[in-house]
Amino acid sequence: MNQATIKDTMVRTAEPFIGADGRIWKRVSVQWENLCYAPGQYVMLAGVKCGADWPTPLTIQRATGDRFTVIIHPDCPLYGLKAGDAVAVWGPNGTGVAMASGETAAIITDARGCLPVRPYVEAFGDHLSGVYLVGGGDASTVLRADITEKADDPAELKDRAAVLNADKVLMALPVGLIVKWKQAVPDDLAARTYAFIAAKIACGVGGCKSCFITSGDRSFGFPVCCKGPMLPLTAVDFARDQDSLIHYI
Amino acid sequence: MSMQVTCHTGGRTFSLANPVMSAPGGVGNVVEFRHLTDLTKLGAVIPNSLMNQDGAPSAATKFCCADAGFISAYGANNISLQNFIDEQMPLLPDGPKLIVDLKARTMAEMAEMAALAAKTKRIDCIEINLICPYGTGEPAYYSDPDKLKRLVGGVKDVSGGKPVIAKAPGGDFSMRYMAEVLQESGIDMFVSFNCLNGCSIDIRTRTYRCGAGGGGGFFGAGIKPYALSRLREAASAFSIPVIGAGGINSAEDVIEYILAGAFAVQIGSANLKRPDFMEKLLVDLEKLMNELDIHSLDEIRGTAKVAHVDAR
Ligand SMILES: Cc1cc2nc3c(=O)[nH]c(=O)nc-3n(C[C@H](O)[C@H](O)[C@H](O)COP(=O)(O)O)c2cc1C
Ligand code: FES
Repeated sequence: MNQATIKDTMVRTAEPFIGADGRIWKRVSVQWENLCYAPGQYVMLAGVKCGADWPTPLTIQRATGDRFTVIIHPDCPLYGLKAGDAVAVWGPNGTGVAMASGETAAIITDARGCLPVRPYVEAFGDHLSGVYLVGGGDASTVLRADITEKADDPAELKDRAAVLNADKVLMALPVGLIVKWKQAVPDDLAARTYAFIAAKIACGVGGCKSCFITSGDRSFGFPVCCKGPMLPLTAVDFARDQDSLIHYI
Repeated sequence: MSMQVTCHTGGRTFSLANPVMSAPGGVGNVVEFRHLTDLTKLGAVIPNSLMNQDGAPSAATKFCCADAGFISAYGANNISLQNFIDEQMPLLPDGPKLIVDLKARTMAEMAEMAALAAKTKRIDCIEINLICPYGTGEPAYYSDPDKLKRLVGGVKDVSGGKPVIAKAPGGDFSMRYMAEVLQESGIDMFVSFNCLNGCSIDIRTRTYRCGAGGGGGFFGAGIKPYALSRLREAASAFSIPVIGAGGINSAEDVIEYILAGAFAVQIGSANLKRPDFMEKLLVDLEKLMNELDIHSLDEIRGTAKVAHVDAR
């Protein structure tokens, strides 16, 4: 696992683009030499003196050379960041879903879930059996991938060969749709499914217990910020924990 | 120039390498932050409050950020003292003093935990969390002088000579009353502030943003003027050392607290702004002391004056 470190660094570029919802999002690159991360890991990023000093978790979209890139939604407190701004960043945090060699994955997301799944879309390349967009909208500007199929409900996709035969299914959907999927698919497909768990993250290091979900065999639960944010569907008791999960951005 | 702070209490001298310590919960169980900051630089560390048994964090949304602070409603996000001693404490670096804040459901439980803390060599001080009894719905012991004396006395009896600190409960209480009863009980130090109650509503969904009951404890920069005035009250009401807490976000804030009479300070939510917050704070504090020509924090403690208008 990549050990998290903290750096005082700066925003190199902040490019606006039209996002999934027709609003103006930003692709922000941050100076960090040779950041080593696994797809699905995230950084905690806080603006220094820009009025957004509580940190926000942001999925690492890409890291090349002297910088890494994140995507910022217009409702994010960090939306005001611009080139030259000082930021404090710690990471990489969390764990990505590991793929054994030769394994294939299908991705099911709604337009907002495209941010946490996009690094997997890029990383999986030929091992991607399909990318499915649920609930309308257009996520192609962020996903940079051809959408295999659109659906109103994830359960409609359960019989598609590319989903049924995938070694893993990764999804980023609102809790209600994840639960629907869990109920609709056979147990072995549910066991191969990983869901993005949108717990609220405050420290990102397992300290504050903000993101703990109480599922599992220990009443104390476990930190989504360290073990997730993408977790096996079978590890989460949605009936117990849904109140602490937000609709993510 | 020295950042060391020293006091005399309970017939002994007590020193810290500097006045900065984590507030309970500010850096989780402390060890989670050890890869991201140099904990050895701190005056003292305090893990999240510890209980007799592992708790269970709330299943509701546990925090939300407010304009000038942080609202949290974690429920019993506390592990047991035994679990801390066995699994976390061995990972702590040597150096800073270790204080444990104890949360108990009964007086007997508090005394039992204090006895375990007293016989654990690495633990330097025992902090009684006055939100006690915790989670039972019964009235707080501190509101009854006899119960408060028995609570503190039960801990002092088993403390093995280690300093015993009392941490203020949340909300409002009479500082004079607290000083009188706690000092009669033989307490060695007092932490002047815990939190205020707070809540926040998302007007689009018309729901409270966090907490199983729709609210929680409010900390952070917004409460500093109030918390500082409570520290000032405490420093005049108590004759023992008082530790300040509440809204500390900068080296300037630390100096303000010391000028108002604090022996040392506890830092809570600011650690969530960055995990190495206290390490940076100490660098800033040293610079600020040089800039303000402060040679010793002990010398400036409680020296803030009320500005007089010249009558002429
Ligand atoms: C994440 C977090 C967890 C906390 N947990 C506890 C706790 O378990 N027990 C306790 O007495 N206070 C707890 N507190 C309150 C702090 O100990 C302290 O009283 C408060 O944070 C001081 O104010 P400040 O945050 O403005 O520095 C917690 C605070 C935070 C930010
Ligand atoms: S966000 Fe603090 S423990 Fe996970």
